[in-house]
Amino acid sequence: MPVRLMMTSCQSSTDVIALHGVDKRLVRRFRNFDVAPGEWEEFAADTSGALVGAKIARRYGWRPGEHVTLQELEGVSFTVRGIVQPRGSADDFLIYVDRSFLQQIEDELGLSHYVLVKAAPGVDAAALCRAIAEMPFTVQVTAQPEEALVTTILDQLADLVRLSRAVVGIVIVVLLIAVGNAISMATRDRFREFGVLRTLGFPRRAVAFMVIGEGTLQGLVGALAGCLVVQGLAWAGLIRSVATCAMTVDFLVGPRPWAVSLAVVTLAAALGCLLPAWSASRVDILRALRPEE
Amino acid sequence: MIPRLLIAILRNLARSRTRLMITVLGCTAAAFVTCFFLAAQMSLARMTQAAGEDANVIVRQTDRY
Repeated sequence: MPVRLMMTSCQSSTDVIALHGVDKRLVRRFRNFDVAPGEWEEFAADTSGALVGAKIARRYGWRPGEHVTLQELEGVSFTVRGIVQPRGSADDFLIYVDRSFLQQIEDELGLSHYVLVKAAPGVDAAALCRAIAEMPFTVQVTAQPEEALVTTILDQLADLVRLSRAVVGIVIVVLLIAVGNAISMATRDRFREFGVLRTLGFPRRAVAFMVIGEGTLQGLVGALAGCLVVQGLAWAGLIRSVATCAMTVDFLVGPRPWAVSLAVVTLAAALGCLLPAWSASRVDILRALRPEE
Repeated sequence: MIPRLLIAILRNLARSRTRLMITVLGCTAAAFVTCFFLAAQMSLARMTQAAGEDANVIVRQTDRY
């Protein structure tokens, strides 16, 4: 199925609007659209109708039946006929319209940007790509599985991901040092108190538990607050998505980032307390209780 | 023993509120950065995975999209 593309400049890092002109009779063989009952029929019947990804519809406040004019795309207009339910793919931010409708707007009838080929079940995608590439076309073509193309496009953001890993590593080390320092200062101030506890019969491990517990609790509360801030910002739409050419990546905070962040920060805080806890548990009772001069 | 120690921990933390706030804020910042970047990383991974679910092949003119 040939596909015609129309999209805003790739220079934008957050608001890429992409229209995909498709053949309405064929597109459902390639895309598993989840739309409300009746919306597909309305889309199929309207030449200037559009199926809009749920995320982009929410971002711009579009509703079924609404007439939309995109000034960023030379004033192209369409009527929203259906909202495609989100599934965490690029479709969530795409607008599907009729291919010939898009070709007429740009006065390029018969011209498309790429062709979608459906691999039959059990067919090796790599072999299919090689076979297509060897076919005698008038131009040189590249065939690749959609997943590989998405990976290539998202590679533009790969540097950001690599950098993010380094940033997280540095932050954790700084946190470890900071918590260790704070707890160490606190235990030095309470030198006498630990001596009293030991005199009263508190075992060394109880003193160590107290010191580690304080740091861990602070780490846990802080981690919880940090995750809540990210979640709150995401809910408020203040951190939404990042776009690379033709593709918008939605930012979703799931249970896994929460769990990993809570675990990593709490563990770093607990580790930072190990040394101060060890010193506090080994306090010399006589020295701690000696009257200050 | 542990409940008593937990009470002692909470009492000690409440005693130095400024220090507590600074440490908690540091942990908040660290968790914010970790959670933010992890979420971004996982969003990318999910999108790549979703693209593979339709088992489509894209054919385009070489060096053009």
